[in-house]
Amino acid sequence: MNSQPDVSEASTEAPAEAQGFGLQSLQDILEYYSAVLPVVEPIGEFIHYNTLQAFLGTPFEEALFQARNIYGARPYMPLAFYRSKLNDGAISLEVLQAIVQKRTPSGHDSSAYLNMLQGSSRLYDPSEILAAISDFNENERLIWQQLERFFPSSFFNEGAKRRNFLESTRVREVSARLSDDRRRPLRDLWTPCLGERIDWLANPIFYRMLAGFLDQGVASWELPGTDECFFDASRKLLFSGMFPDPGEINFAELSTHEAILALLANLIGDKSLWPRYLKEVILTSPGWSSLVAQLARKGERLQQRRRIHLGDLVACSIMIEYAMVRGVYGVEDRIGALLCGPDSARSEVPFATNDPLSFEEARRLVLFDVFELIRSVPFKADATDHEGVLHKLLTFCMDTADVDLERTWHEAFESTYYHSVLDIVVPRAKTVAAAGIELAARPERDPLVPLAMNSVQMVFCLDDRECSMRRYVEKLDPATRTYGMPGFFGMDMMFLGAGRQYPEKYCPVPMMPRHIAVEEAIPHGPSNFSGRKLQRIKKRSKPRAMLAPIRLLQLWLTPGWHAASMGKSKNSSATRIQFHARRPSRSIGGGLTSDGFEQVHGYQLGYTHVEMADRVESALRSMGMTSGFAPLILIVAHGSSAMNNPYYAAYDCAACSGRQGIPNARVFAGMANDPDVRRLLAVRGIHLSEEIKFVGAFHDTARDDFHFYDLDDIFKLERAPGPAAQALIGIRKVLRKAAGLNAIERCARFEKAPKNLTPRKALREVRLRATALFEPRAELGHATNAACVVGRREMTSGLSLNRRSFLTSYDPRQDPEGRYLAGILGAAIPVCGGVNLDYFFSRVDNQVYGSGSKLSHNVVGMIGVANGVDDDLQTGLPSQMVELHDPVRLLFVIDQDPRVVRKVIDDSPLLKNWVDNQWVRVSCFDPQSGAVSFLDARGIVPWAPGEVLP
Amino acid sequence: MNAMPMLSDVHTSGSVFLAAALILCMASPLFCFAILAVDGLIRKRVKETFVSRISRIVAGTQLTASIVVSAALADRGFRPFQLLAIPGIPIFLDWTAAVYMTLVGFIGWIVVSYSERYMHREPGYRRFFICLMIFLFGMSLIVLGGALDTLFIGWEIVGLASFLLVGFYVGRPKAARHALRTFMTYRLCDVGLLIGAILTHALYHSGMFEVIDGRHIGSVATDGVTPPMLIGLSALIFLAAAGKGAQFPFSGWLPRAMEGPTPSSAVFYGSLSIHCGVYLLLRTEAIWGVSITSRYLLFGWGALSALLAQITASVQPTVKGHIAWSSTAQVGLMFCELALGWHVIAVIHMVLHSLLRCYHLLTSPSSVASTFS
Repeated sequence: MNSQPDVSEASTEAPAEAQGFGLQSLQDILEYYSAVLPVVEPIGEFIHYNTLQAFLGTPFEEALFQARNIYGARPYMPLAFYRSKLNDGAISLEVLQAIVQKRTPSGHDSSAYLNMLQGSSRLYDPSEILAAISDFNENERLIWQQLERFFPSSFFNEGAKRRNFLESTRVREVSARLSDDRRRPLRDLWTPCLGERIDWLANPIFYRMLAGFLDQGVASWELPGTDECFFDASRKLLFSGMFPDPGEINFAELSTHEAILALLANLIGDKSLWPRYLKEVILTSPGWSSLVAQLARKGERLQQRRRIHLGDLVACSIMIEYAMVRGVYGVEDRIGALLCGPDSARSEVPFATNDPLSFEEARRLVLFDVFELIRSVPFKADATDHEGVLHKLLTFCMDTADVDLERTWHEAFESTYYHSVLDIVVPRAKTVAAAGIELAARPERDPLVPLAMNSVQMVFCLDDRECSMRRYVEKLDPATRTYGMPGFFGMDMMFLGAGRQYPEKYCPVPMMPRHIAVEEAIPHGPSNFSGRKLQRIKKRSKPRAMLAPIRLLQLWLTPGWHAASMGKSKNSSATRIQFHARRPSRSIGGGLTSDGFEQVHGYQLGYTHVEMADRVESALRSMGMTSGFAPLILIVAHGSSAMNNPYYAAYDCAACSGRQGIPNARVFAGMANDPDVRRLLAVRGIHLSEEIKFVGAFHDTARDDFHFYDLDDIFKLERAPGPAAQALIGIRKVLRKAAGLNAIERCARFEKAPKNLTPRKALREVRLRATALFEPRAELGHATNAACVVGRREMTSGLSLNRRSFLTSYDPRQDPEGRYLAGILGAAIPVCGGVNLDYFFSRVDNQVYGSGSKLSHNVVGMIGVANGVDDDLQTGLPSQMVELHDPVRLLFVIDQDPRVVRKVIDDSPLLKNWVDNQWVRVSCFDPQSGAVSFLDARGIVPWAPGEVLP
Repeated sequence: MNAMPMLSDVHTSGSVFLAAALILCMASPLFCFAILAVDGLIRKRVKETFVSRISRIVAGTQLTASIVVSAALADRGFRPFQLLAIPGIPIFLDWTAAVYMTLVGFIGWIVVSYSERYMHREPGYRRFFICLMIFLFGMSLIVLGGALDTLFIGWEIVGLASFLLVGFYVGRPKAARHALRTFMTYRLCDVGLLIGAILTHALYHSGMFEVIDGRHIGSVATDGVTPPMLIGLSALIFLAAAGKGAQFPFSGWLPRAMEGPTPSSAVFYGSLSIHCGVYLLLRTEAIWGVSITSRYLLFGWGALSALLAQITASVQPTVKGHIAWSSTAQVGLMFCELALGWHVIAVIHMVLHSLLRCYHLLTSPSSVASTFS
């Protein structure tokens, strides 16, 4: 559970007190913004977080508006986007009509609403409206004149009507848009005194100081004072020669917060402006503010630790302003005085706005909206109630803002997709359920029991990119069964790689691991098994060395050759992972846990056999893999090898905190192969015979190739290849073919990939993309993710979910209480929901929530990217990653009794927020009754196919 | 005065071949620019394949032509070659020009290939290639220009292209500001080149490099050129070189110019544009190289810039900023090498440095991965 305080009770404005603004108020404001700002981590550890994580306690739609008030971001996509989706067929007209029926306010005509959604141009600029009016043809002019006759100015001007009119939703929305979108910051009041906006003068210094302080290794010389807190370091730098010290405030004696108060008193004077000013300071640089707030919470995110928190950032920013304004420019006024001072030369207030929309213009605006509704609908000549109809339309237009239309469109967009998923999954689920009920009576006929000798079971991560790979593997080899689980495979551990200095977390972000696994290099030994084919597997399966920067010519002139050469095994030393807990006989450096086990870096080294059995059992039971094992079980981790991409961690496994899950797969396989663990498992009812082997593997999702690990250890006692080894030889071929087919499916989405590819050419194409320095879209990552199916593989096998669905294996028959479901959902909902919402928000407003185009990005201090050398950190996803994404919330389809699911969700406050506030949509398919229902704040809402989604 | 061979005077087919290659070097980016500009006027929607294909063909042509030029020059035994095929644009080719032209062709071709995929789906795709072609044309004028005037024309064109590419992202006010700063610094320092060109005409009665190269100090003094005049002229040329080369005190624009897309930063501020100053000095060595005071001035200027830039580079927290300041330091060192008369070393330094910086900038996004893996 992350340690951010919940801001659900807070309003959008930070707490403020007009008088008596003291340390506590300052503290409250800083804590508020620390909580509200999105979670931003150093880019090398990029993890997909819900950008609006702070608002989880608020219903989704409301949160969008709250965020708009704070950040100025768009809540939904623009109308043109949805209209083009309707044309493309991604939004179904029937669904749209059904939703319009639902959303039309009572007493109004839903056809008018539909008309407005589809056809209205939504002009709002008064001059554009005038231009459109002057371009009317005869007919339109007649209609317009009629409207004017019905609704003259006097109509709107009568008393209360005037106020209602001017405060109506539409008029207010347009007024807000026409006036300055944001109020100009208070700092702009200095502009007449300085001749230049203070931001242009102060920000370069501020950002460079921040970047220099937090730098993790770009600069050869460190900023002085990196062992102090940022406030002290910056204070010393600023006033020891960089700026003349105005001398009014003695910073050396003040703490950070006291200094902020002193500065505010000096610069602003009027205490009622302080909260707004602080908000502006923090939100001028949302990227740095977010990162600093996160570093204050989790300083260990930086390898070279720094002491900084949001107050330091604010203090530094205001100090620089103070030094500039008072010291360099010698201005003596205060902002409060400048805002409403009598001196006419200095009181050009940059943000006093007159009414942006005059009365006449507002009237024309609303009448134009009505006009657009009626111009295509012919008046029925004999209708007696023209005026009544028009009145209703007028009220309707006054009450409908663009954002209402966008919200309706968005719901239609999501619903169309959800309908399409449910339409294919539910019938299949019904079939499976029916077959399952039948088979419960005759377990020996259970199709889950594989009959082939050399069959394989493969456990993938639930990642949406594996969705298509699994489909192809199963198609090419029907004896293979694939499963999905969160990619950390239940291994809640830290991991210290060979040659690394610090351990890293390899499990989902909310987890706090207590164990650590350590990798050590081992020298090459003689191989212990024969068989030429297996030898070949061994040679080709060594993990690839990370690509080192290579010569200019080779890479650019011959990327094809280079791509091919990367596939050959580079020389790398084999490694072994130590994950068995030890009780050392003598004392050692790392210390001991309370139980007497060896510790490394403060974590217990490895697991005891009981702990191992717990984890393996829980993983196997949650997937429903408890009997009928294949001789070979592959545990496939995934990662990505995109080149020249600072966002590389975003493509790796989100369940492993943005890393490649190789250690998890290897440790799991090692645990499951351990004879002591197997004995314990047998006691608990899971029987693994000796010939069953688990092998850890790695699927590179960019290059679409597979690697296998620890084969020496696993097969060392075999003289001749046993069933597991034979299965491994067989599955390699299948995987290669499946990779080719998968590559073809992936290339269908790349605009620049050639058409009509064969598997071999497609593989070559994706590998070129993965190795080319100049390919900003090496792979599409989680773009277009939209659903998560938690249930038996039979529900989805063979279905083309178009790489849009996370797939988790779960057997409701083996988990009637929902115990394992709790574990699955506890990981899947935050992780997959986080991925989905990160993409959602970065797509909806890429400038505010996302990081813009990645082409101009400059790596700052190894912890983030910015545009240019002195600019705010860009957070979120770049446009290249999200341009293909359809912003829809994740739909969970859970194969379980809804009451069980409801209980699981209610038992966890975090999950309850996610589900009840509709940050993810959860639907349940009851295997007993075949009914589908949705879970939301009302509890369980049944749904039948064909109805509008709740 | 030596008579210049007109195209009609040239008899040997080798020279015709060389002349054609030279003209192709210059004309091909201009031709591509014209085509893309017309395409921009006619077609609203960008057709990426068309733009990239023609740019790649032209960049490849320029590269091939420049290799041919170098080969042909080597064939001639590295004797300088003069050409006045187009009235008003003399071409002067010596081994320095051949090396630099090949470098321009090579890096231009690499960046065009890189940008074809890198800029995919970016708004402004066509505009990027148009600016790139303007730049390559300007570079060819600088490199192959036979007179100081021609060099000046190319100089200004390169400055314009820099300005357009730094401000490529028209939606960002900071990019626009920094583009303006770049342009203003260039214009300020180009005053030096302009006055220098005028003075050169006055003093040497010609702007042609072939003519200037042929003079010796003796004939200069008898023609009424006093040492102070020569030092003044040298200082003006140094001013122009320092502006383009981001030397002290004109270094501020270079790190701020990293606002454009990565390939443009690579081609301009990593490799080609920043060495134009060095190239100018190489070309005009006969002017400033004569007086020892000028050499002291150049050496001091370069050394001071290198020292300050290296210190600044050591504290840059951003990767592109670090590269920018390191480039400045290296160019300062090249100034020192030139001041010492190490012509060949300066050229080798320039070529290797170009390649290195171009690569650094193009792979700068991967610096995070290589640190953390």
